[in-house]
Amino acid sequence: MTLTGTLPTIDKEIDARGSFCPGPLLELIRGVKSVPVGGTVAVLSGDPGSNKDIPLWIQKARHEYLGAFAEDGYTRFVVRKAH
Amino acid sequence: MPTPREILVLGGGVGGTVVANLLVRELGRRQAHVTVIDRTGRHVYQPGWLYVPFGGPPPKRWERPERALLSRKVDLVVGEAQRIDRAGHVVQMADGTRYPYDDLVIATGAHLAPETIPGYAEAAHHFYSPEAAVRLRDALEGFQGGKVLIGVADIPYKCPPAPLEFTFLLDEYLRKRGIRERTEITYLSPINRVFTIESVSTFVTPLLEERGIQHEEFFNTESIDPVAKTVTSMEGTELGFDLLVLGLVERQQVVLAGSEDRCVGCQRLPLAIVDGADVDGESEVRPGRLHLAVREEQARHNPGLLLGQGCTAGHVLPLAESGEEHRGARQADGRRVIRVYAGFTDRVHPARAVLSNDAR
Repeated sequence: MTLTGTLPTIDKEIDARGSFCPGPLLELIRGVKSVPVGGTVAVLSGDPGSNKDIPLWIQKARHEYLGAFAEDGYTRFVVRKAH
Repeated sequence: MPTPREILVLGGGVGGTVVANLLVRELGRRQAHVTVIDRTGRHVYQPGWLYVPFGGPPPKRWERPERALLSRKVDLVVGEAQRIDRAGHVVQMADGTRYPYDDLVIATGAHLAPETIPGYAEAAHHFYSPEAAVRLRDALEGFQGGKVLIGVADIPYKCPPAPLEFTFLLDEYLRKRGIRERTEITYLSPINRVFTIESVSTFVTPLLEERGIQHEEFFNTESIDPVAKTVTSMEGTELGFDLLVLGLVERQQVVLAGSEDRCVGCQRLPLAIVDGADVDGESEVRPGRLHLAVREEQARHNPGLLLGQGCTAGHVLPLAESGEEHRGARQADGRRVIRVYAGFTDRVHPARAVLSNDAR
């Protein structure tokens, strides 16, 4: 589901537009590795595959999914590192 | 008559060698004088190391003198490049020698970074260096059955299909030795399928299952306990092993350290990443674009400079590239460089320069 509205605070944002699945997911995984627990990471993706694999990974890795925010031609996926 | 362009190629791997040979072949001496600078003077065909653990040809078999692979029209300098001075158009060597250039091709490849995963050096095997491949061969010779885990230590890693290829080769090897039924093989994938390309994944997954090879998805290695012989993922899964084989993370070559620079056109794309700077993600220089797009953009903004595949894909994006992509990219590299200087005929196969040596 894509959300609109106020974005959460983002500590680290990665622009993965132009990268194809699973590039944005791998970018997000690296991003989550690099922030402290409690930090938020956003990845920008234009690949439709991200709608499926990013939320799946966040659930599997037990982090907090803050949502997918629709932008012009891409989506901003936001996650909070939970552990 | 115009002076020939001075073209320097850093690195005598497959990419650097192919590009250098293509340049002299297509441009001729009147248009270009090409020099390859290589650290060792030995050309190594790295994909051959995959077969070493299973009793294949020893690592030396996959080496050639770089001189023998280069066209006679290409000069070879054996030595260590230390710094690139882009403003001055000079490459400085460790011994102080300076090589000026009009155009520079950086094909230094990537280096391995086992230190990024705690416990890796003590407990994990790989086949990304001749020494490691021989160590793994010895470990396999003494292996009498147990749990084998195969995966990647971190992303990016060299040659995406290599761990899968290794898995199938291991299955066959253990069957021949009659110890397959005493061995549990599990393939670990960092994403939610066994391979990055979905169609390949769909094809390969049943092949794994037919052979009784288990697979665990979303397994991004976090740490290894060499004493307990367990490996833990970022996703919280802990698995035990008797033998652990993990593809290694790669980083930018040290030659580029200190040469960090931004694209003169967009001020955004990195021309080089300081060695290790992106290990913790703090030095955010990755533009987050598909490597081919990056390379095209680099070429457009920086007509005097070309980065080889190992220098970009693995570092600009967390997606490493396979040999097949390498081949395509090198074709593109060679052709693009040549297009800059001369009308290019599309007939030269870049791999020929390397393959012809084996065929002789």
